[in-house]
Amino acid sequence: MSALKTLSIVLLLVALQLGLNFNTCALCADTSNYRLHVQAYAGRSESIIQRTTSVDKAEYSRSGLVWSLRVIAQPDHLLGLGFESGHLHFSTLNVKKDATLPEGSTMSLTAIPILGIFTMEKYGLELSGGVGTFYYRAELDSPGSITTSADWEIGWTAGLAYRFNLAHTWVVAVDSRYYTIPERSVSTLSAGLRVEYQWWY
Amino acid sequence: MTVLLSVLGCVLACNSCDSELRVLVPDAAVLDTLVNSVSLPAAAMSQLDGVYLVRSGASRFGDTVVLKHDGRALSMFCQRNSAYMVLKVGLRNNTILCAGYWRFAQGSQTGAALLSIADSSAQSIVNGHRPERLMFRGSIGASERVGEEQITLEYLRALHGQDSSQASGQVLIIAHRGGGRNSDRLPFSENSVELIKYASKLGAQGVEIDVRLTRDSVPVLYHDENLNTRLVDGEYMVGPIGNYSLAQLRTLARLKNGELIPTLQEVLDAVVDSTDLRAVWLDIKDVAEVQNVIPMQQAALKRAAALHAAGLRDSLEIFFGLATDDIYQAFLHRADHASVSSVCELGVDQVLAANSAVYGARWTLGGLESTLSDLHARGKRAYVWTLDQPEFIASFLATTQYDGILTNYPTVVAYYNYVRP
Repeated sequence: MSALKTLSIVLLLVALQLGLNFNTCALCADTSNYRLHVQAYAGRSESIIQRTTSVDKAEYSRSGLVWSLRVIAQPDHLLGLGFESGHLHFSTLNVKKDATLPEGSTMSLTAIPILGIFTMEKYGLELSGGVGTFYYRAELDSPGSITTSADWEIGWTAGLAYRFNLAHTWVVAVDSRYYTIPERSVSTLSAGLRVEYQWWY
Repeated sequence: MTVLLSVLGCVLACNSCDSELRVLVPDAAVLDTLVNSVSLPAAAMSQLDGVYLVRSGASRFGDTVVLKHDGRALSMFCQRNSAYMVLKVGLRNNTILCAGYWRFAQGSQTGAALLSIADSSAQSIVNGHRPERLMFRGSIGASERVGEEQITLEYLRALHGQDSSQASGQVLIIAHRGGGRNSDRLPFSENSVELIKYASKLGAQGVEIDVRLTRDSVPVLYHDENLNTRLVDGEYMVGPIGNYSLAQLRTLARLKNGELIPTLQEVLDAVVDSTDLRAVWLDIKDVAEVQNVIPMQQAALKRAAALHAAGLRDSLEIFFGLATDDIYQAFLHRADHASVSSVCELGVDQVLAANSAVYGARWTLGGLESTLSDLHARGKRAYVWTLDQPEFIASFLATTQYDGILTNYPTVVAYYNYVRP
């Protein structure tokens, strides 16, 4: 059922794109062959993660903010290659009352991705993907002490964006990204906006 | 967009890998057979121990099997398929009933098992005598039900070592990580109190356990340096275990089968009070443990000695593990090191310098004939680690002089050990 729904939505999106491809674009008409994009993205995320803590009373949240910076080199074809880093939020736990942890303790789970990225763009619609490592980090903040502990994990990302050229060098995009660390069974899905500057050379 | 994100997320989540290894012990309905049965006295359980001929069921379990009780349960150890059974025992209506499960130690096959001894034979056993012809009859299944395959066992002879003339050739069976690894899909997590209590049912007479320190310097049992999904569930459990306090570990982490990460104190208390294990090998991972762990070791030994003197348990040895140079050097700096029971893995010279009771030799070193003879002449012992391949286990038992075998498969070592003539 979910696969059928996914297919329907993807087809709808493609149809939408074909109807909206007006922005492919007089603004970016240029004789240069190569582009270097610097992309800043910020979005709201919702994590897909199984809660495995047993704190008695606590506020738990899987929502958070995600931001990232990508540098993409794009030769004179569809494919661009580059790198990404940023900050991902997976979950936060605020302890209200527990037998062993002090009241007011907070825990958060975040990651810094360091990824190799490829992008493909046509008619403003951009698909992206990447693999690499995540600096996976837990912070436990109890009154009087902070515990920070981290590890490196392998993961990947996939994204879908729609780009609007504002000027010869400036682009904005609506962007949705999925990041996952399979070893930890942790994923996050985000949607947000991207601002992009591109150098032509 | 929200719908797209949600649907895409669900699809990806459902398709993500689940690397968790499930426990391979059937939730056996066959245990209902033991309802309203009574326990067998220890003297009666001892009559069940022995090497048995397999009259039916040999295709799965081989021609001969070993039955051995641990006071609470009866275990069967086999050569073929590295199979074993763990059976609870009860007496009802003049019939001895043994119900539980079988499984292949190095495979995924498992199922329920039910064996019984009827009438006059059962009565003899209850009275503490082995009948002239002792037969187990029953059946096993490949699921939670029995009845798929008949099994008949006939007593052949006593176990190796039951005869007092064989006492000098005994080999201590030591289970790695408290009984085995998580990857072996045992009923309990590695390095858990629950698995250590269960280890004797797997044939172990001793356990090796891994000791690390929490941030607040509490010795706990945990193998790896880092908290990882192979060993624990816990959303906020990332990086070295030494970054976390005991309270944080207790609240936020569970071992893979749901147990708490145990403290060393809890484990030593459980070993002394709730098991008949004869040896604990402390695999020390951090040089700071030299100061923390030895007092616990001494206190547990003292309590075990008191219980032994009162006839309440077998003797117990607890060995402090010397596996790295820094731990070895810190150990030597203790004024009392010569009186601390230790197992040293670094070499024979270091064993002698530290006055270690045991040399822990890597199995790839082979039989070490002259070395072991020399150590024995000096009153030392040697345990080999970590021996898992059945053919090597058989060979080491038959041809070397090691006093103990550390293994992930105590059931396999138990078979080859007890079946020796």
